[in-house]
Parts: sequence; C-alpha cells; structure tokens
Amino acid sequence: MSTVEARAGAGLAAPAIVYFVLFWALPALAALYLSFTSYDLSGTPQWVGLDNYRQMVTSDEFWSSAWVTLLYTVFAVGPTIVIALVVAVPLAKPGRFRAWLRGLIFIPAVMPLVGATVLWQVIYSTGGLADTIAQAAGVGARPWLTDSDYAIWALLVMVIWKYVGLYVIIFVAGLQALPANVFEAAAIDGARTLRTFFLVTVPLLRRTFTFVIVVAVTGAMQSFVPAYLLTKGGPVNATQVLPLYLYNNAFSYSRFGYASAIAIVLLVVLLIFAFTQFTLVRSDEE
Amino acid sequence: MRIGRPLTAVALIGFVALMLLPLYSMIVLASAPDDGDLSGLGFHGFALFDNIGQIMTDGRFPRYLMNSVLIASAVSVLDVAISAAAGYALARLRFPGRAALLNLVVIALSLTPAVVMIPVFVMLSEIGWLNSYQGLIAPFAASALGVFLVRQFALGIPVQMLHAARVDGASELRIFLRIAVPLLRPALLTVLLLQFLAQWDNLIWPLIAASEQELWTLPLALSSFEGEHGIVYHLQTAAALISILPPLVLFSFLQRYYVSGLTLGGVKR
Amino acid sequence: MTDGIRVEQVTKRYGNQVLFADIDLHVQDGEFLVIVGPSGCGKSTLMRIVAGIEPVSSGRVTVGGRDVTHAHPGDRGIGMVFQDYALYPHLSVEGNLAFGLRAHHVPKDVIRQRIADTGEALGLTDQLKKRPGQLSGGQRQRVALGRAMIREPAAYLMDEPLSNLDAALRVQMRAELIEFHRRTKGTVLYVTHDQVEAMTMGDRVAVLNEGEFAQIGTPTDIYERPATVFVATFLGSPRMNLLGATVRPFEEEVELTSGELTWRLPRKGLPADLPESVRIGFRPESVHMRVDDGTPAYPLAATVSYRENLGNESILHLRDSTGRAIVARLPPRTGPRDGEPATFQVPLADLHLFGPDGRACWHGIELAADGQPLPWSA
Ligand SMILES: Nc1ncnc2c1ncn2[C@@H]1O[C@H](COP(=O)(O)OP(=O)(O)O)[C@@H](O)[C@H]1O
Ligand SMILES: [Mg+2]
Repeated sequence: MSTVEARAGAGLAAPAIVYFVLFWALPALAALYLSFTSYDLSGTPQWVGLDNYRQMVTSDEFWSSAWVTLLYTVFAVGPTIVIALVVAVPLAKPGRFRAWLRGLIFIPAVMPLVGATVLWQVIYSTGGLADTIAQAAGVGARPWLTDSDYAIWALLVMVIWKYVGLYVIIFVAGLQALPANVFEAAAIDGARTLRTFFLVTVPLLRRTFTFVIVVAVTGAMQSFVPAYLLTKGGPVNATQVLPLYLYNNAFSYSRFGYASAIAIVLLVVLLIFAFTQFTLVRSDEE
Repeated sequence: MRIGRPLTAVALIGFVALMLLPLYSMIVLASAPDDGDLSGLGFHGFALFDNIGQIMTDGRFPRYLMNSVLIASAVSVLDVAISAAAGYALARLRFPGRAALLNLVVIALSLTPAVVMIPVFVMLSEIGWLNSYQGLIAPFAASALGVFLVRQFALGIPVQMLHAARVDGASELRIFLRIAVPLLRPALLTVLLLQFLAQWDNLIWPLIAASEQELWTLPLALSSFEGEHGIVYHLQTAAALISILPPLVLFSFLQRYYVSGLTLGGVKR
Repeated sequence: MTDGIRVEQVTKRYGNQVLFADIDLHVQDGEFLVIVGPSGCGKSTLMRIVAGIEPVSSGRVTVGGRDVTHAHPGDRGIGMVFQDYALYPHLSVEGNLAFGLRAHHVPKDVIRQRIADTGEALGLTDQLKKRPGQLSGGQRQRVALGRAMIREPAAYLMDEPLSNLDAALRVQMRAELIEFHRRTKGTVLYVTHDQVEAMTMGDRVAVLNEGEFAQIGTPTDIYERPATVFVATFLGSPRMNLLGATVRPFEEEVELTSGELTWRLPRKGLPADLPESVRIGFRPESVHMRVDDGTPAYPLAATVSYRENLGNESILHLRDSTGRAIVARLPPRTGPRDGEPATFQVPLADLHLFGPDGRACWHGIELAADGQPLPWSA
C-alpha cells in the first residue's frame, strides 16, 4: 500500500520537482556563481571573485539606484497603506452600496499594470490630465516625467492609485473577520470613533498589517514596469530602481556577472526584510 | 458622529470618483478621433470603434493579442495541472522527496524572479528556446504560489475520505482525478485566475526572451507602441483599453476566487 | 462458506514505539465482533491494518480465508464504514454508492440495479439524487453503510460509526445496525470506545488495552467474569469497587481482611495458589441495603458522602469506617440520605478476586454455578 502511495505521490509531484529544480533551484545557484564572474553571453564566464560586489559598492549609480528604490518603496507603501486603511474602515460595514463602492475601488488593482501604465503615460503627457488638473489648481503645467524633481513622484502617484484598492480589499477582509462584539464593547464604553480606531481596530488588525506590509514592500522593491515604461529610469537615473538597474546591466550592456551580483543583493535585502517580519510576527504571537 | 455619517459618505464617494477619473479619461482618450485634446475630460466625437478597428486591422496587433491569449492560457492551464498534482501530493501522500519538494516550494516563494531571470535566460539561449513559444511558456509552467495554495487547501481534505476511496478500490490516480480535483476546484480556479492575470500582464520576460515580433505579446506591443506607430495617444490608449478588458471580464466572474487567493494567509490563520 | 477475518501474530510499530506485538484475533464467519478499549489504544490502527490502509510491521491478515496481508484495500473483499462517514461531498448518494463499482469497472446496468437494491434496503430511494450535505445524520450514516454493502464484501469493518451522532440518533442507528447484521448475517468487525455499544451489539467483545487483548468473549462472560482489573473497571458504569485485602487460611475457609472488614469464603472452589494480597471487586449494583434475614453476613457500615438521584436509580457515594470510597447503586427513593450512616451488604456471589498482577483469580459467580448456598458477605 505505502509503495503504491509513494509511487503515486512521486508521480504526481514529478512535473513540479522537475520544474522547480530546472527553473528555480539550479538558476538560483547559477546566479550566485555568475555573480562572481564576468560574463557577456559569448564565451564562458570568467571567475573574478568579489570584483562585481566591489565595483557595486564603489559605483555611484548603484547607490543612487538603491536610494531611489528606498524612496520608491517607502513612499509607495506608506501612503498606500494609510489611505487604504482610512478608506477600508467605513467601507467594511455591510451594505450593498458599500459593496458596490469596494468593487469600483478595486478596478485599478485588477487592470493589467502595463495597460494602466500606458494610460498614465498619456495622463502625464504635455496637455494631459495631470497638466489640466495642475492648471485648475493654479500650479500650472509641469514636465511630469522629464524633470528629475517630479518624475519619481509622478511614478508614485500612479503606483498608489494602482494598488490602493488591493489593500482596501485586504483590510476590509481583515476588518470583517474581527469579532463584532469588540466594537460593541468599545461603543458601550463610550469610545469615540477615532479612539476606537487607534485603540481597538489598529491593534486587532496586526496580522493583516504584517501581511500587507510584506506584500507591499516586496512588491515595491521588485517593481520594474512603471519605471521602465514611464521614464526608462530617467531623467538622469532619477527613477532607476534596482530591478531596472539590473535589467539595464544585463540586457542593455550584457554585463551578466555584474547584473547577477545586483540580483543577489536584492535577494539578500528581501530575505532580511522577510526574516525580520517573520520574527516580529512570531514574537507578537507569543 | 451624527454629522460624521453623511460627511463620510461624501468623502468616500469623492475618493471613488478620484480613483475612477483615470479610467473615465481612458475611455475618453480611447474614443478620441485624434490627439487634439489629451486632457481626457470631455468627449470630442466618439471614434472608439474606429480606433479599435484601426488597431485590429493595422499592423500585427491581432497577432499580439493571439499570442497573449495563447501564452496566458497555456501557462495557466499548465500551472493549474502541475500545482494541483504536486499540491495534493504534498498535502496528502507520503512519498520520498516530499520534504525536499516542500522546501523547494517555500524557498522559491521567497526568491525574487530577478534572481533566476538571468540564468534561465542563459539556459534557454543555450538550448535555442529564445524566441519560441516554449521559451515563453516553460519558465512559468508551474508556480510556487500555485503549489502552496493548492497544498494549503488540500490539507482540508479529510484523510478518511481518501481511505474510503481506497477501500472502494479506486487507484491513486482515480482518487486524485475523481475526488481531489473536484474538491480542490476553488483553489484551482484561484490559481488559474492569478496565473492568467500575471501572464497577461507579463512584460519583462517576453521583453527578454522574445525579440522577434512574431512572438510579441500585448504588454510588449503596448510598451513598444510608439516605436511602431509613432506618438498616437488615442490609438495607444485604445490598445491599452483592449488589453484591460479580458482581465476585467474574467475578474468579474471569478471575483471571489481572486479575493480568496489574495487574502490567503493574510486574514485567515 | 468463508472464514471471517483472521489477524495472526500481527505486530505494529511506529518508529521504535510498539503499538501491539504478535496479537491474534479471529472474527468468525457471520459474527459481529466488537473491539472496545480506551481511546489511543490502537483500535483504529488494527482496523486500518485489516483494511489495508496501514501496513503491518509483521504478521498475517486473512479475509474469507484469503491471505490479504499485502493486498490493496480495494481487493480485500471488505466494506468499511468510517467514523465521520467520509462520504464524497461532491457526489450524489448515487455517485457515492457507485464509486467503488465504477472503480472496479462493473457494467452500467449492474450498477444501476445494485444502487436501486441498496437504496431500497436502506430506505434511501428518495434520496439518491441528493448530495450528502442535503441529508440528515441518520441518512448519511445509511449511505455510508450502503457504500460498504454495495460491493457485497466478505466482511464489514466499522470504526466508531456512531460516535458523531447525537444521543437519540445513536440509539436508533444502533438498533438499525443490529437489525442489519441479523438480516445479512455478515461478518462484522466493529470498533468502539463506548461500552454500551460493545455490550449490546457484539456477539463477542474483544477488550483491547496496552497492545493486547485483555479478554475476548461474549458480553455476559466479560461482564460476569472479567479476566483482569482493567476489563472489570472499563466495562460497567459506575465502575467496579476495588478494595485491597490480605488472604489468610482460617479453618475450612479463607479469611480476607481489608481494613476493619473481614470476609470468609469457602476454601472449596478457590484456587490453591491464592496470593496473599489480593483486590476484592464488586459492582455498585451488588451493594444492597442490609436485610437481617438470619443468613451469615458481614455488615458494611458506611456513611453517605453524597447521593445522585437519577430518577430510575440512585448512585450513592459512600465512605466506610476507614474512609475508603465505595459506590452503590440502589433503586430510586431507597437507602439513606446525604450524610446518614447505614449498613450495607454484598452477596458473596458478586465478589471478584484479583491477584497483584491484575488477573482475576476467582469470581463469586462460580459459587452459584456450583449450586452452593449463597451466604451474604460484607
Ligand atoms: N502514523 C502514526 N505515527 C505514529 N503514531 C501513530 C500513528 N497513527 C497512530 N499512532 C498512535 O497509535 C496509537 C493508536 O491510535 P489509534 O489506533 O487511532 O487509537 P484508537 O482508535 O484506539 O483511539 C495512538 O497513540 C497514536 O498516537
Ligand atoms: Mg479510533
């Protein structure tokens, strides 16, 4: 019997095993190896030891890219989560009207990112919606995507718009899973709306917060499409996030060894972040 | 509180309107006969169907659309099949290599695709799979998220039920196909939907692996629209609109599977 | 015609934990045998070994005279009813019944006929198109039974099939299962931790404890002649009273002393090698109010700590003069009240003696069998 089970299990899992070995395990090891080599796809990789990493830490472009990524991550995640939570609290209550509003808010999140970015290209073009609104507000038209003072903020506005609905839905799900009697108890205690929000709702949503922050941060740190499509990383690298820096090194300059080293650094940062989150959540639950 | 309610409602409606404004302007822009007014606030004639017609007849757009449908469908069906089998096996069968596979899946879940992108690119170029359908499909034929999601769901299938089927004389394959797959349906639909949406929106891989236009997909076509057609924003927006419709339609039918996939682990314990 | 179920010299290990070693069990053809034991003692594991869901570490299993030790569960000629029914929730009743037949590629018209027959036998004809979720608990139970029946197995295995039903339904389904067995004369191996099920359903009862069968016998046998202290205390509620005692020969009799109490038993019929220290057991229903009718008797003086009036009977928790707890079961509205002292007595024929190894060395009922007069004792 157990041999039958073992054979069936191995058979059912075989395609996945082949896939994960071929497309994840081996490539991950290969990436680590490549990060210690110089490789341009012609010929074989040349071992260069830590050269790529040394070059990285002395490269202004890398540090500027890391800074842009940090900025991008902080200002994509922070405002998105705050807005999402503020909107989710009133939207979490039952009712057809609210369900309908939730559906509408979610639409940008369901749109393909590439299609949405193409739309924002037009919105940020000269005489586009952004200019129109800025003029109406008395600010006046701006070169949104071609001025290094504005480009990253323009990107961020788009990204927040794109993803806020997603986190609204997640927060709503988290809020609706909370026990109603807690809120009733808070109301009986005479707590005001704001007090309830900070002293009851926010602490109870801890798990949801953790989940949302992990998803949002890891997503933002790997974000490639908006920077690639809207600004190509420009102007003057003002929007060159790390994934774009990696892409350019690999596929524009054929520096596969150096690009692999960037990938490894990105991975390590993501793992440290995930690990920190994990231990924080664990200590929370004890 | 008493004044707060209508205020909240107004604020909410205002927020929703702000969220929908870009979408509205998308329809306006996609319907414009030319690039005369890019503000996207008011209609100047309604040329949406002309624009779509022009895109569909002019150039290779239908081909890109077909490639997208083909690749996203193939990938999501493959992912569902492989994830269903592996996720079920991981949850409910004892076999050598089970722990190793589970570790692989969990590690792959936390790896960023950026890490494996370059070696996979090198590997496919070695075996001549760049610029081929298989080269666009194979790297996504399964997914850690898919396997993991199915496994979590399959842990809910009572072991006794599988024993009952064995006593009934069913083979392991029959049990998988006739008992597990029907019971896993919600998880499989979630995987199908998530993977279809992800592939429909996949830009970076075709960008790397498909330089031949014959193999371009919608995201690639949209990202290179200017290069092919010059700056014609109303046509570009109409093309983007076309690319947005299938996911929206799919989503409106399978909404609850999408949300359950999203919140897995976030809300539930 | 066939041979029922045989478990021969079966050993089951999990890692280096031995669940049972070299155990034997024979369920005769057409017999309803109940395995009873505390939870975690390995009942389900033994049943799963017979079903082929769990492999043996060593030993042999036969069903209907055929060695099935290494056969697939589906090829053992068994039908099984599981604790939580384990019905297929996505299939109709029909689909559930047909699943095993389809797996065995039984022709369609035969399947249709068997479904109709089984449905009728179990009163499920109107439910055939429904899903398990739309059925009541009792109906689900019947579908589970039908699924086991429909392949006409050589033997049935039932693992606590009634444990998830509410009390009323459990009584009803118990009767239905007994009726089912009478009708079909099937061989049934039934597992439960419920002593009422064991006593009422089994032709024979096998008491499993700590990896071995403490006793296998008819319900009456097991109740009247428990082979070990474990069997004696596991079956019967409230449990049997046990008092430590020392044994001393006394003229033609044997004297047992326990605290301030003494008993005298006729030496005849007692085993010669009676150990010096024993435990005396008697069931709560054997404790009666003392009646002074001239027969020799040793009174048991005790005080009522508290009494539970259950309507049809009263349970009295007593303390004897040395403070030992004794439980008595009396008819309702009889006996002393809370805190009152009273004198009781226990018929000698209701006593059991157990050696220090926990094995029974004598049962008072032997006296009755010998046709001896039954003196009172206490
Ligand atoms: N797969 C297993 N691995 C290790 N121990 C097990 C396994 N299955 C059951 N056991 C142990 O075997 C014992 C008997 O379990 P079981 O047969 O289910 O008992 P019962 O049905 O009498 O309550 C339990 O103590 C349980 O912990
Ligand atoms: Mg059990």
